[in-house]
Amino acid sequence: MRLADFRVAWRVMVQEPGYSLVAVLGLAVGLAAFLLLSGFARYSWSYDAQVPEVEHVYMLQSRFNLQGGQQWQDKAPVALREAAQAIPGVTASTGYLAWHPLNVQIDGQAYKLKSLTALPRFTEMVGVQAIRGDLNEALTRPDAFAITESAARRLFGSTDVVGRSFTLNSVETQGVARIAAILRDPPANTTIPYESLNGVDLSLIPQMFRDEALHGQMGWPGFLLLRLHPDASVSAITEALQKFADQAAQRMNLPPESVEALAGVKVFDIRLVPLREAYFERDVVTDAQSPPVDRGDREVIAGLLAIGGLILLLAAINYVNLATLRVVRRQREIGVRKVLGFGNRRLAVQFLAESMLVAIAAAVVGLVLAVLALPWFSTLANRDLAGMLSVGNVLAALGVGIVVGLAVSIYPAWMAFRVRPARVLAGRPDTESPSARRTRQVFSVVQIAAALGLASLALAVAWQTRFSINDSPGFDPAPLLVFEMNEGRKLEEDDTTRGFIAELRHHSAVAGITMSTDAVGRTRNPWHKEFRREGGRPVMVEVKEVTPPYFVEYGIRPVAGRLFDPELDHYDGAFPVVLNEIAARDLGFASAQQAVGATLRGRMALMSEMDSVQIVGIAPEIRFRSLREPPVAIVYQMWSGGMTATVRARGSVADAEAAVRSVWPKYFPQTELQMSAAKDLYAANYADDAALARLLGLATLVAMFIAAIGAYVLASDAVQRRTREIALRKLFGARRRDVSRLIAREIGVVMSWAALLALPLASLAIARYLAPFSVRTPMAYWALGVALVAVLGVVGVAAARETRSALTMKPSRALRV
Amino acid sequence: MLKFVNTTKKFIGGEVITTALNNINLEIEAGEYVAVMGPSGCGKTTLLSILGMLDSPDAGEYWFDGRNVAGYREDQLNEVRRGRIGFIFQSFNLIEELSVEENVELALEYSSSSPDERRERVAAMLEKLGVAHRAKHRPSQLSGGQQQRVAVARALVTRPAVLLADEPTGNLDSAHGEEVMELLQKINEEGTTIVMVTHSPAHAARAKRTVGLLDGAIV
Repeated sequence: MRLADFRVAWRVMVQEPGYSLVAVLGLAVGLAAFLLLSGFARYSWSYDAQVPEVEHVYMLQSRFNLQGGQQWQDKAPVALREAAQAIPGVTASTGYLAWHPLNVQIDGQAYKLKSLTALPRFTEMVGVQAIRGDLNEALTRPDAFAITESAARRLFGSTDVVGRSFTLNSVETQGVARIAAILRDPPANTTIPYESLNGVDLSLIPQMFRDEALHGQMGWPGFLLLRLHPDASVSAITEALQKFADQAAQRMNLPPESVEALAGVKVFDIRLVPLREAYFERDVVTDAQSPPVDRGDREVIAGLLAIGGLILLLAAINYVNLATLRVVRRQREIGVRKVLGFGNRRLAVQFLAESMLVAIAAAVVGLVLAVLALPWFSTLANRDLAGMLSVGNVLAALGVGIVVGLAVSIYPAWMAFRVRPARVLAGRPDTESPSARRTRQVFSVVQIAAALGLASLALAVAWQTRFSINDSPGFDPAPLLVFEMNEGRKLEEDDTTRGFIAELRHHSAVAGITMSTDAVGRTRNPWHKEFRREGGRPVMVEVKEVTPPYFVEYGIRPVAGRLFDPELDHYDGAFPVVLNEIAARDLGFASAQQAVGATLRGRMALMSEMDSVQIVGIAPEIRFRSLREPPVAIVYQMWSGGMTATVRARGSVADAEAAVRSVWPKYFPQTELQMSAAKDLYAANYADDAALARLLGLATLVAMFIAAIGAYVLASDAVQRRTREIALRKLFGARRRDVSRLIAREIGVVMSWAALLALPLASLAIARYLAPFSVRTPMAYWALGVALVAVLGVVGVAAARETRSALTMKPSRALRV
Repeated sequence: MLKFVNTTKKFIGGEVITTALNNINLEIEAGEYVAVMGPSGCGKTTLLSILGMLDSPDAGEYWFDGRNVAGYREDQLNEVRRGRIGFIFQSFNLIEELSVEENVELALEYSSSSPDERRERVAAMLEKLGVAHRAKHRPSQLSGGQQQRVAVARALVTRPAVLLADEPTGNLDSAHGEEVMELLQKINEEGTTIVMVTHSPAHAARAKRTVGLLDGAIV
């Protein structure tokens, strides 16, 4: 390839600016979409890649089977850390705790930090780096801690804060500590996010907690990590840890009732999960102390990567289509070149130069598009993807562009080889062979089918997401605000909390306030208790602890009997409970009404004593969980405290929010208030579904754009190929609608094949997506029809220009009359 | 039947204006056989286009069967032309993707005849022109002369009042050319008006009248 070839290629591009723009833009958009989607996939598969030798690092997960529910959690008894150190094959064991979230006081204002307490060897295992100060000092001194560079900028506007002291508050403790180190930010794609780290020796941490953190005598759980020797047997180490857990369970001296309830199942199940897999552990249950971590779906990510590849393929097909048409139009030029001595090799090099020029231009434009779109794409994907376009990724993108350029030059070059100079120079140009034309029609079918399939799936996901978010949780969340009380203070024990609630209750903007262990739409603290009715079998039921005003403030009415009433129900010995209908059924009651007034015997998992509670009423179903999880049996018990407070606005929600913000600092000056609307909490369950819908929507737009170009090429080809026929038909009296029908029929055949290909596949994909939802939108499969109409519209508009040219074509010119 | 009155046609190409027909007056009676001769670029093709209502004059009048169609829109010209004018081209203009009988039937697609009637007329015309045995073949499988016969069949199947032929023997050897000229003679004897553009004086001599064109004017 010579410079002259590129010079000629440039002139060819400039000669037809419209064609060149469409060719470059089509390929650029495809490359940009591929870059962004493949970058997102790479990002998702690189979670925790910053951890040294991450392939040998495992996290411990445990399942406490006494509680019922039987779900794995990403924590394990802290005592296993020391036990693991003695197991052959374990080269290091460490962990981190979130028992003491820190609030830092700056100029009288409290700011919450995403803080972790680092156990010994944590920083070494996870690869924590200090960019200023002394990390070891920060984690070993009682008066020191470390914060990340972005936290320092957020709070202080600078990272030059080493040595400065601040008042820190945590669970019922307060103290002064100085910043001894500034840490490099952990990457966005990590399951161990933090803004600050402190050691167990921090003075704020009570001695009891310190002992438990280091030795775990009381069996408290923490986040534990092990590094294994490359040749170690994971199963053998798991077995050893399980044995330790079994021994610990034996020391618990379980009552016979608990042993019977276990029915041979172990008290604890232990497993080791590679840290690289942690991001995909969607079924792991978290609690209020778990750091907020995104979880991904392996299948969805693979699907998005496949879609990125498909879009690039469509863009390449698009270019091949355009280039092939161009070869047909340039036959005379090619004929002249052959007559002048151009062999096939020179022709191939010429076409390669043209394709490479377009591909490189497209790669550059595509990169620019990807860079410009990245912030918006990050928002769409609901992930921080700022670091995605590294130098390596950019070079890889250019490489992909060059490979694509090579690939798309092959078919047009082969078409050019087949041009017969004698024929074309005699004015008898070669037409494309039927098989070549069929191949290009297949390309168009694939392009349109891809747009149709993606549009159907995107619409179905978006509709299901909207349906899920708007699905009534069993009450109207609009007037409700939810905020954390942090430490689960009990009303009868804590003057501060009582005072706070009393003042809020009297505020004109607040209609009422209640507390509970968790908010609706977020189940971070599930716990279970065994209940049985008279003569019935024991049933493990999830318990929700709420204060008496709960049902009133949530606006919930009973199905049978009554619900908790602040006027009637107090913490004075009587133990009323409210059930939901599923609990009533599971406990053996024939109807909700039959359960009202009945007595239940309840037993905590580790106790043998039973208490008696009376069912005062049956509540309707409240969606504590997302629509992906089936509703479960629930018993509501009264409790005088809770981690979560809910405020009902008397009128404007904004006024109620302002009221809470004004009252809060008076009672909790050391703790940052974190408040959200109840409906936003519920919607957060579907944040990833909404992100998926947006990503699919973006892919659909790109595919539609490419399909539009494909439809334009199809129509252009049809008109060009049938010019003489159209002219003759006009001669014989064809009206405008007859000519339009001719073009429409040709495009209609392609559309029909595309629909036959895409719609069944889209239906399968939609069914697969909807499968986990217990309630589904009735509109999901309408997406197929709407997508079909939309694609028909796009194709129609794209083909309109060529159809118009067919309608206005002068037969005399076409037939040389 | 066909009458030009002070008819002018110009073509504008960038800054160049070409006068293809310059204020011509011409009358052709029903049943006439007229040959149009002239050098390349004299306006023969333009004349034929306007006669066939494929184009409209920029000035003057064009009367077709008692109607001045000079200012008609394309759809109006279509209506007037449908079934009344047949065309024969130098390059045949048969559609390769259609068979011989389908090519001929194309001319009847926009008429009011039923499918059965169309098939009968096509079969009869192919028989008349001696190409019935090639009905299922594609045009490229026929000789030049046979292709032009098929083109003539297509032109005649609508039973037009006027047949316009643009150098119908231009792509044929002399033997096949003679065959086609014989055919045109016979058609004219049956009453069809024929206007033929030709470069061949010998072929022009078969017509009843020859009209000369030079630089857009009748000489």
